[in-house]
Amino acid sequence: MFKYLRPKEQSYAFLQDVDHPEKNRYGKAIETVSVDSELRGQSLNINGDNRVGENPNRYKQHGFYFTADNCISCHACESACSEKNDLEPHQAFRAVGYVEGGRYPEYTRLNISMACNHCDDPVCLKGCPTRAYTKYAEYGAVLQDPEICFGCGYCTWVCPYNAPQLDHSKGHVSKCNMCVDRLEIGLKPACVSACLAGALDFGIMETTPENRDGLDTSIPGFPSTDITHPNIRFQQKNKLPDEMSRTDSMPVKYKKNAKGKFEPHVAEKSVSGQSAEVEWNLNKLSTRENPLVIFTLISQAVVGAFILLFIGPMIGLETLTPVKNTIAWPMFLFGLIGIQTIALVLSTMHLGKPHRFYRAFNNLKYSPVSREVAGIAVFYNFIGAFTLLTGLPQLFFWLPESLLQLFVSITGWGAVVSGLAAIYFMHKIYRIPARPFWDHWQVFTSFYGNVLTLGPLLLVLVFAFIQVLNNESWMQVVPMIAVFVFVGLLMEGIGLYFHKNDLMKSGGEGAAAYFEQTTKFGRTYIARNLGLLSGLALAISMMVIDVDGIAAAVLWSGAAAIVLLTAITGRALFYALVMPTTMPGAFFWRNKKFQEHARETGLAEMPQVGVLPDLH
Amino acid sequence: MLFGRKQKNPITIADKGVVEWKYATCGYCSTGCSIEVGLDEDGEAVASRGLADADVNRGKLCVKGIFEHELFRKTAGRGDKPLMRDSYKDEFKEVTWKEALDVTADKIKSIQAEHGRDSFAIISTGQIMTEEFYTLGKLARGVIGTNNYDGNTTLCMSSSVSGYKRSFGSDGPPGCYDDFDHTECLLAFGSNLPEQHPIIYWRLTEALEKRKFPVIVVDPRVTMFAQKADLHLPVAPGTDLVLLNALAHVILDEGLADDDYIHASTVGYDEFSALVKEYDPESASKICGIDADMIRKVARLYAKAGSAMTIWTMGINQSTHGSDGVCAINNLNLITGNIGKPGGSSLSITGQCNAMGTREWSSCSGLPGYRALENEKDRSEIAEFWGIDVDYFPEKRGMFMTDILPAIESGDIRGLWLIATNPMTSMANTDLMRKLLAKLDFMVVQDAYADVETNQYSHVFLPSAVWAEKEGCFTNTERRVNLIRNVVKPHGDSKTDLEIFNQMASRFERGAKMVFPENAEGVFDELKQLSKGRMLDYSGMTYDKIEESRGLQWPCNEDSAPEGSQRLYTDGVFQFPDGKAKLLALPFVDDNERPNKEYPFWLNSGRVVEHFHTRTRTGKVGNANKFSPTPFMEMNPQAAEKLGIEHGSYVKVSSIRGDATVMVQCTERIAPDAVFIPFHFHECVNRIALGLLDPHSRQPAYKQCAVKIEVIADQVAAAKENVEARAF
Amino acid sequence: MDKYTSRRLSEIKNDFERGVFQVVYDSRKQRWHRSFALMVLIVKHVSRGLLFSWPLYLLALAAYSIPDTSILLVLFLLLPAMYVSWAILSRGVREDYENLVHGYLLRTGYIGRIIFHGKV
Repeated sequence: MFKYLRPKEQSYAFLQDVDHPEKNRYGKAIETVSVDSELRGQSLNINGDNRVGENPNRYKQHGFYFTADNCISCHACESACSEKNDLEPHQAFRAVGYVEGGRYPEYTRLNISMACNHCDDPVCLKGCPTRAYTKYAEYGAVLQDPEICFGCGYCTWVCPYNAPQLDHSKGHVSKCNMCVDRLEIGLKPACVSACLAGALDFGIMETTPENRDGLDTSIPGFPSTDITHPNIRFQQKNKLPDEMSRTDSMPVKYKKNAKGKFEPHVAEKSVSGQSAEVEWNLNKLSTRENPLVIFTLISQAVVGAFILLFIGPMIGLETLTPVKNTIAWPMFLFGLIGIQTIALVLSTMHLGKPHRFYRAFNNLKYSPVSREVAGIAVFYNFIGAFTLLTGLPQLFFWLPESLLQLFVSITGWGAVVSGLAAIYFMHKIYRIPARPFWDHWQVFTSFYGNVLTLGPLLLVLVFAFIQVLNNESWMQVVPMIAVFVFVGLLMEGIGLYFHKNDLMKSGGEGAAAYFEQTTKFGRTYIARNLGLLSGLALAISMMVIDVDGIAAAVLWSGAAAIVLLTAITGRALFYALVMPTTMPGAFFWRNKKFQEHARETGLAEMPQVGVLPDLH
Repeated sequence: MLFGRKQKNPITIADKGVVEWKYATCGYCSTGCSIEVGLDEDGEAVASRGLADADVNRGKLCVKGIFEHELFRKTAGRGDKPLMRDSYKDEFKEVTWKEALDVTADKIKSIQAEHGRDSFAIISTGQIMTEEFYTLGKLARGVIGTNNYDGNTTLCMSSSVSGYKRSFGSDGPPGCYDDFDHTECLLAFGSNLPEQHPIIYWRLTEALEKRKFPVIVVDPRVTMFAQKADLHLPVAPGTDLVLLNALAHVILDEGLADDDYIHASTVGYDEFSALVKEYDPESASKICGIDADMIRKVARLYAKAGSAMTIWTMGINQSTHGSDGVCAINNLNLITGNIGKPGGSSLSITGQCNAMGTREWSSCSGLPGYRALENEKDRSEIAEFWGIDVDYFPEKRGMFMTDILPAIESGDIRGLWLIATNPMTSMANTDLMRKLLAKLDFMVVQDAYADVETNQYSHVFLPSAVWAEKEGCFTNTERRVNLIRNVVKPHGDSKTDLEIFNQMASRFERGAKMVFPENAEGVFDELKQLSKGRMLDYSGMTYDKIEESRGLQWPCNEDSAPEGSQRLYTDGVFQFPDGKAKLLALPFVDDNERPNKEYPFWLNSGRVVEHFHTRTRTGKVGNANKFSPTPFMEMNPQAAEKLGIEHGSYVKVSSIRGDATVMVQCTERIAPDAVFIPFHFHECVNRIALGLLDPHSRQPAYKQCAVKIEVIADQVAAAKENVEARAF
Repeated sequence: MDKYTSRRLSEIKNDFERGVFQVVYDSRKQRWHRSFALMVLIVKHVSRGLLFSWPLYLLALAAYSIPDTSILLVLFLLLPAMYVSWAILSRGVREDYENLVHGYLLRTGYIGRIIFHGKV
């Protein structure tokens, strides 16, 4: 590793020892740990080498300095990084994209090279359930370990800069490692050393390289720095046109505001001036996250169903007691466990490396994913125990009756509480500042709304089916169930309504996502909304109308089908529409539209096109 | 460690296990970067890095160089064994080297016996070693004796060669990269350094960081170079000569010329100034599209600078007046006294890694060492040195490559030997090319890649080694001779080009009597002997010395210039008998294929940084290819909107010659009446391009022709067509 | 011999050292140790897995304990559950075996290290 030092190495490759302010502009000390900290003087243990680097600025926060005016998009930085880290064509830690503006010949292209910004507040580290990330005292580098990672991809969701890269062929994430092995011997990272236009540089934070001035925190196309306080500074002095557009398929453009800073806006017309059409695009609703659509819906349904089943007798639904339904009750519980299991299996297999699933609990302190997984696991255990205790009581003949009832009570309430908590953490997973479409309380109302809607629906469907088999009437539960369904749908509807308004007001990527919702998935969106409204109407009728027998069964099955379809469509839209605040791409590289096109037309079959042919 | 964790996660960083670094020079463009290839303990090439102490690139490499080590074993389609077949419609069968070479030699002899010596043509390249060029020249002129022998450098550099010869009396770029550090004004014509020669761009950037000077870029497109320039002149396509004459007009008119230099070192001033008088900025601006004030401004900047330099590449060379354009640039520099001094130069930036080598030694256009067939003394000298009869040489050169190929149609050319070149993709008018190549009685293709498109029509395929699988020298843009050490053995059963030439020579009676050194260093010795005392002096060089110095610029004579020479013509004495350069009167004749009602767009073609030429190599290196995996066309959004074309959709582009399907990228970087397609892709831009030849240099005018653009309704079919054309 | 223990086969470059290593590696004792380590890994992964997935088997258990149920129903519920467990566990066991056991000479205390995933 220390063999990177080339004989007669040039001065551009060496780190500079310069003075720096005590704190960065966000108030954080640039020195990463105090002088007497026990963390000092330790080896980074790179590839098992336990030497300690002699870099005098080892414990200072370092970062990139990008002179956006100079970048020519020659790809040397990307290539040097790929070569050093031995990456395959479809994977890259650093990427160059651009935004452009102005009319010929007063045209300007601003190229942007971005890897990882080793942020002060790394959301990737906080979000990762397996604790694969560490922010080191050495250089302030945020490093990720693919050997620990199990490929959930959550870090790729939370990072505003597209730094972590999920390699679908390997099933794990990896990312820029700040070339710490080079830093240890006083060399700048490989990408900086390779830059051919004097654009990319690197050093201690809040210092400017030679011949440069300006420490901008942002350039057009760069997301808000409030999210993570990234450790990157820019110089961008050339006059830019008032409006700059992207060449990749994101309907976002950047306009100068009154203060001269660029803000993202929806680009309603494409680069070639066409307006978007209003379409269905049902096939595009199916994404890599399909297992999560199913998992979230099923989990919410199961939680809702169990709560109703357990609490039902206490609020007047006497027909739902185990005494009255010696067979239906345990069968229903087993059924719940069955579908929850399917949901869990789907969710586990959705990981890049499912056999490492047990690591999901490693980051309960910070990660909503960890907490959600823990919540669901606890819930699953509790309803398992509850089902065992109530469904197969003959196995516990050796336990005194009072103790059995106590355990039943504990496990039952335990399941209720943990189930509700799990759904809470489940929604917190999606409150990601980098994904404005998701970062709204609408997730709360949708998720809990679904608990109220799908749970009882599931319960009443099974219950009705069994009652019909026993030639008994099942209609008496329907009005009360209908209340829950109504409340749930109403919650969801109100949330979505405010979501729409808030998105449009906020502008930027959120509004762009909404724009896509009303165009690319426009008809689907309308269909989903109609479904919600019909569901509400049907719920009201369920509360008041008195029909029985076959007619009732048909009618209410129909209503249930509409509600279910609406829920699935809505959830699929939720995942398909999310538009991350990613960095602008180029025309081919990091252009989602081209990647899709390459897969559809078969171009992706050639590995040298750099697009993996299938995503799982 | 922060965030309160006690346990450190282990850090794993890729380690390729390099144990040895071997010296080489990059085999892509003519910047001539010094590159080291890293071998692991199994002897596999696993890494590349630039040499920190090499003057040319000082440790930097571009995207192609960074992945060059993948060429040896990781690119598919390498030629493994010699292949042979009776007709291009048959399947190839594998044969032994003996068989392949025997059959080829016999065929050459029989074709020559029946149709004359010149009916068998040889077209070589700009990418094999200098020693191999020289040997091929010996073989072609001294043994096989065909006068229809040229290289693919005609497609890119022959206008520069022609221009230098007409102005200075000899080929040879007079400047060097060091001029950036001294110049006070840089003018770039049709040169897109960031995409074509990124390392030369870096040298320019470094110079500008130390000392700012004005950079003026003349280019119809707003390339990154144009964006960075202080002045960008979006010249109308095909009218550079007008602009150059207008600049000269202003300089002479305002008395800014260097009269002393003109008097001392040039002839032809009267005729030149008379012609240039007609090109006043006002009339010129109507033709070239640059307004008169700007012309004056540029001319004044250039002439008043203490030293000024002009660089150019294909924007000038690949037009219908390429040679004239080069002469005009030379004129500009001669009248301002900017030749041969630090920062003052007309520097042609060369294309291929060893185009210089073929110009110097291959005997395509003359005799080795910048000697001429027209010169009796030169003929005798070489004949004696090679040990052949002087009458065996013709008294002037034969056809250029771009004339050889059409001559197949008339039956003048019956057989063809192609070496490391791919005219199926690189020649204009692809459909015509197919017909021509199919018509040949016999074609042998010698290339590193068996899936090179031209191989579709060959009868014999000879697999040759690529880049550092052999040893030898390249010469770069600034006349620096640099070494490639042998890094790995040739792939499979392939042989080095040198070996193939030697073996072929031994099969001819004449060749068996001549001396053909077995290894490259032996050939290099002949080069030293033949160049001693001449302008391109190699006599002070040895392989070890070259490696130590990281390349030496000729003239490098032991006595007068042991460390090489940075510049030529530093004394103001040129290569004509009278020692003076010629100022040439160059009238502009507009023979461009201009856009008209039916074909309303200008078609321009050019390069992208991640690809090299016809992509036989970079098309297979994923980490380079992925940046442009499929052909695309830059089109102005205003024009696209009018035609209803969507960004990212496929369209049909057609000219009088043919049509092509290509994906559209809408960008304001190109004028509303023009489009741009990178030339690298097979079955794409060259199906449409013009290929009208320059009268002096026979170089095709790739960059200007008229096309029309149509929407394709069936996008799925278009996409399918596109995928099929991307065979590799 | 001691200085070769807990060094990986793949790290030894010297042919002679490799020969010596190979002799010890192939010895009966070491082969027994590796089989034992494999069993420990299987037990570790299965127990850990079961901790999270036991309700998966609940259905089969329920079917089994209801009197007069066909054995086919039990199998119908049991087999998919076992397949899923197998799919996940086998990868886990394989990965741990590759990283912790294969190619190593196992010395005293290795069981503890395997269970707590330290260096062998």
